[in-house]
Amino acid sequence: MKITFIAIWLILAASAVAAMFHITFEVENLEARLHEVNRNIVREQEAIHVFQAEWSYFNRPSRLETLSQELLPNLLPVSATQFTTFSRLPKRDEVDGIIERPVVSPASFAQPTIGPQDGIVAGGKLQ
Amino acid sequence: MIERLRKARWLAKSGPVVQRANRRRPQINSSAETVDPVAREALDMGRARLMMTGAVLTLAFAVVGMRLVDVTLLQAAVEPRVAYAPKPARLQFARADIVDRNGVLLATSLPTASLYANPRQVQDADFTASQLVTVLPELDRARVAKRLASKRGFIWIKRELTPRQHQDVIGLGLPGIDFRREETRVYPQGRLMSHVLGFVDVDDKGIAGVERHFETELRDQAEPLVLSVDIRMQHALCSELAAAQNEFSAKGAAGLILDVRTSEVLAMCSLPDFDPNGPKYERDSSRFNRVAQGVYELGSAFKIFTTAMALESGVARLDDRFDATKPLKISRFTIRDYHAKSRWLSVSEIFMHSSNIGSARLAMEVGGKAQRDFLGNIGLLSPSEVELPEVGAPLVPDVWRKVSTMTIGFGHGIAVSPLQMAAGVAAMVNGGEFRQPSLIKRTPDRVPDGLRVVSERTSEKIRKLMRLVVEEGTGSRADAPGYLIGGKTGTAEKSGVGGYRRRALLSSFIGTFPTLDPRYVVFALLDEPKGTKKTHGFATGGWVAAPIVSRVVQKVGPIAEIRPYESELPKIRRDVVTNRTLRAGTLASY
Repeated sequence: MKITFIAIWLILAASAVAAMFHITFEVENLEARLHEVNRNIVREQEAIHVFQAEWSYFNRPSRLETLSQELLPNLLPVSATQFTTFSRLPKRDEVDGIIERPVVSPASFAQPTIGPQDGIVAGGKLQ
Repeated sequence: MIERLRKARWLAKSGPVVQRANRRRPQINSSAETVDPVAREALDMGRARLMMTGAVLTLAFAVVGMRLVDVTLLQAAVEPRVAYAPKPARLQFARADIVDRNGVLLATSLPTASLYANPRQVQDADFTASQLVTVLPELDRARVAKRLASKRGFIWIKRELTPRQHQDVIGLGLPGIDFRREETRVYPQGRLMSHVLGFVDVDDKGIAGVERHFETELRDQAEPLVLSVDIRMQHALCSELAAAQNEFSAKGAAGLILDVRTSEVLAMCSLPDFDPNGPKYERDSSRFNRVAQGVYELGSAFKIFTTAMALESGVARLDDRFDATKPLKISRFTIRDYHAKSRWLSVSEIFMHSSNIGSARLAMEVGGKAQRDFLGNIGLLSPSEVELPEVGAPLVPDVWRKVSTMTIGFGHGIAVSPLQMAAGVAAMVNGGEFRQPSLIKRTPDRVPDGLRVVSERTSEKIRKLMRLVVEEGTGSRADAPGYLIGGKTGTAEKSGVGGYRRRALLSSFIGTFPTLDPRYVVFALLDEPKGTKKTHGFATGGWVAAPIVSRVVQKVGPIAEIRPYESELPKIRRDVVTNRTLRAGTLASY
């Protein structure tokens, strides 16, 4: 009777010790991982920070202006004459012929039909 | 025989003790009831000693136990467990970012490595120095060697290395040389915002501009500082000013875009400018902020104020006439018109023709005291309160004589900064409320209450007069289709030794748009422009500065999402221009 009692206690104590060690090691591992993740977060944040500075640097208005002049020669600054009101737009029957409008569907987004060689028409006038 | 043997064995076993005991205490083997008092005494002593030992040990264990409870349970409440719960990581920099009103990054801190040495650990100073010079050629080898040979524990060799230099120095593998992580202030927009932002020194301390004015805020707060400037408008203004400065070979240029409703500065440009990322030690004139720091006699643009105060105080109406037939003599001065009409002019005509004589007469009608109060109310007599350390104090006459009143009437004898001028004009056209200009974004709920300086009606008249100058008068080159610019040219001779210099001009134009419901004031100034063939040799405000404003407005209009007016519509012409003022003949410059 007494021996069984002691044995139970010993087993309980041993398993408690084992569980404690297990948890301790687990916590240590998790903390090490957490630290690593935190370090990585800081590293990534630092990288993002640098990228933001770089983004701002590459988006300098003067650079964008030069690039736009070089690469989009047909895209000009908006002039006041390009603005109008709905009431001044010509009605549909006043325009000669019927304007063909492409049907907008998801497929038409997937396959762009306008390539860079097509050029872009500046201005808001109907051509 | 056997009996004797047994006895001998017993004796040998029990030994002399038994014999002694037998001898001394013969009764020991008797029954328990009959205990010898000597033995009892010994037993009692033993028990007492045991009790004492037990008590001491118990006490000791109790103390240890109490201490255990104290350490494990109680002290934890006082002293937090050292076992750390790592906080979520967060990147921290010593200085907050600065962004424009749309959140575009203007100034930020980036981590860099700085090179230092511990001379006590450096083994061969000469060798180390010669090796360092191979990757950092800008270092002085002899000087570095001398410093490395010193007995100090820490010396800087080079602050803020580039990543490439950092890698090269690591590659040398020199003992006693190490890096310290530092922050470098970086201005991604380069020169564009130089005078607004200012810059910091090598220890990240603000030296000029907003960086200096908001030194403590930038150090304390984590969120970025939001300026009122719009980087796109800034670029539009700066590039046009630079083009004009180049075209007219001007010494310098200054420009400003101000929101008339909130007095926020949307663009502020002073040329020549500098690169805040560049070397910080040079002290040159490009640091000078012509917009806030420079004070100039801006000339005719002051006639806006003279006319406004005359209309507001009721001493004159738009069609009241004043004598401008001949130059006006006052003490040793003679006030003349450059393109004299030599007749009586109405107030509108005085404004359109930019008549100095007429403006001087108007100023006299208003009176010196009223003039000073008026100019004081629109902030022209005290330094601007804009958030910059570089703010120029206006030059104002000490004694406000009659002649001062007259000359100030057409913008001479008083020098103010373009920023003060623009803020004053904003108050004239926005319905009559003056606010100090600011470089910090003002959300609609944080716009300060304005000080009413002129009535809504006067403001409307001033707007129409300004539109008239562009439509029919000296400012015609400032016109931009659809945006209904109104404005006033200003050309002043710069004062030099012994009076004014005819050839050295300050040519400016101050405009507002759209005139029917003004949103912005745009100012442009060229310092000593030279006329070109295209301008027939003229270098006045109407020829050189007005076109800048026109081009800036055409670029800024779409950015500000201002819907262009169809200015040729009769209704708009009727709204903008009064019939009476349309009577002008040919209009001269100035």
